[in-house]
Amino acid sequence: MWRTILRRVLIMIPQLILVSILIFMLAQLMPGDPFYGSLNPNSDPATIARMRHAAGLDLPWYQQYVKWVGNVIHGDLGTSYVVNKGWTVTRIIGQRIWPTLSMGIIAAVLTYVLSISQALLAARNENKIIDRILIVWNTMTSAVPSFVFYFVMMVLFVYIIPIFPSSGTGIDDTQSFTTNFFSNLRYAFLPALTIAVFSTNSIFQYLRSNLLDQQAQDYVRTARAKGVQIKDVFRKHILRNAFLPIASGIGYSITGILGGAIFAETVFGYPGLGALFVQALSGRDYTVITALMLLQGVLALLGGLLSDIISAWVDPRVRVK
Amino acid sequence: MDMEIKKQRFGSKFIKNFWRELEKDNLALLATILLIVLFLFIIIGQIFVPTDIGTMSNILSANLPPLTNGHILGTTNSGADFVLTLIASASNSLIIGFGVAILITIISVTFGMIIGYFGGWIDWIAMRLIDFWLVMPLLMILAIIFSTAKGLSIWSLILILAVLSWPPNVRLIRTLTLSEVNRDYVQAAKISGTPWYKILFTGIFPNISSTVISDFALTLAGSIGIETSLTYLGFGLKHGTSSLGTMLTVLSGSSASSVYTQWWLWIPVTLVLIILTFGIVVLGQVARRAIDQRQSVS
Repeated sequence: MWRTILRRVLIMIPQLILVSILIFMLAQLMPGDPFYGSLNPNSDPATIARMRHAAGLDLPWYQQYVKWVGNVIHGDLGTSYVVNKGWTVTRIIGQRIWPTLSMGIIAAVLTYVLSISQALLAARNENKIIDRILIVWNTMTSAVPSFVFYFVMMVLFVYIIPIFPSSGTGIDDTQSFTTNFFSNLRYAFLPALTIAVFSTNSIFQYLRSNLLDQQAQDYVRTARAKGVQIKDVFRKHILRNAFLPIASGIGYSITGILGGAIFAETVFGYPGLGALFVQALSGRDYTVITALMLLQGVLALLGGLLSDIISAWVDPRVRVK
Repeated sequence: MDMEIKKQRFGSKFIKNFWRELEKDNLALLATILLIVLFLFIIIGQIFVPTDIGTMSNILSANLPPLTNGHILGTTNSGADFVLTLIASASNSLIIGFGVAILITIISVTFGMIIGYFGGWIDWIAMRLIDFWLVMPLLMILAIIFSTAKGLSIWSLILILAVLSWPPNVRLIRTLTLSEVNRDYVQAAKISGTPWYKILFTGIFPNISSTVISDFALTLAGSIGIETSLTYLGFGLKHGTSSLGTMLTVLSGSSASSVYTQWWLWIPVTLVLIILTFGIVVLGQVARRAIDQRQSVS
């Protein structure tokens, strides 16, 4: 087990280098430089050149890359020029990450609860009307871009039945942690629920076909022939086997937190990292964008790592390889 | 002569099977009818859409509510008729979707079949790159590229989308090809000296075509989804080119409460988007069953 994990962590190193190069390239693609926001038409060209030289922007790209990586390792992600002028990027992200995390975790848990219960319901009633409805529902939510459903949820639960606040995170820096935690729950729940309701498709389809496959296996027939009740076979054998591949997907829900937050946070006016990304892009705050991309890249790699570890842990056959 | 007769029979058989599948499936029938109506609307509507609909600005009649001055759904914030803007936007979104899906299908069928057929180090490198690309946040990367470009034309948008989002399709086609390569008919063709491109396009391709069709539909709906999502956030198309996404942009930011107070701004757009994407996916599944009768449900 430890050897599997070690080998998997070693694979991450070239991946991390590749991710950092990709992000560096994207950062180079963006027009302007970090002084973009602090300049005005009257700035002296010599001053600009001096500032660029001091920041190392006149070096060849590979030296800039090494310098950037060095800064990142020391925790220096630069300074924001537009979103929160003068703040360090680490400070902005540190402030914005909690709302996104709380929303993302609630959304991930709810997604699993909803999709697993839908898959169980569908598989137990194969080809009956409830199965058909669930399949159509999940096909629809996967085909239609989900942000349009967010408007529906917004109108329903903020305006027609006003039980949730319309915008904000409920977090106030002057309050204590527990007060913030509970007031944030009220704000985070609706976007989280909305994300969950409309993203059940992949787990649902996978788990449903797994359950149907397992139901047709010989061991189920043997157990039934011995006289075991179908609900016991379901609980003790079918579920355990069908859940194995689902468990490994848990890692990837970490990867999706930031990407999924972009639309939910924009529609619901919930200022977390996703909204920050949109804000930074619209304002061309490139240090913030680069930092967010880096965060997302690291999250993606960690998600993959976690998934592989979980699947090696629950399924010994994976470890042998 | 012989080949022509065969082709004709295949075509008529496909249409017959397609009809039979539609008769069995009420939902698919509904989706088809709605899609046909929508397509007719879009095509016939083109006649009435003025060419300058994206760039015109008529402040006097901007933001009118429905049923005023003969505008059935009111006007947009630049004063254009809402229904006409919707038609223009839907056709733009459809063009983008079809363009991206056609390009991706061509790339994935050729590239996927070749790396699946030959295997070896090309396959190994391609798969490592694809696996790496699949964990990257495509939407965020696209948003960054679009925002640096400061407004793209429809065609460059299609090109960027296609170039960056083919990996999952290639992987699918490669997997399908791998399962065909070791079949007897491929081995027999190889031994009898059939060139590889003939084996690929006349031997393997017909056998994977049902999945190619449904994958095309999924990609089409997915591309419309990505395009509308990004243009909704405000990244992508240049000013004056509207799409279903740009029509929803007015709802973001400070005017979020207009979701409730001005329902006509988003409900028609959303309905068109749902009919388009959902209908296309359902039709793709029907076409898949019509081609490959083994998958037909009784």
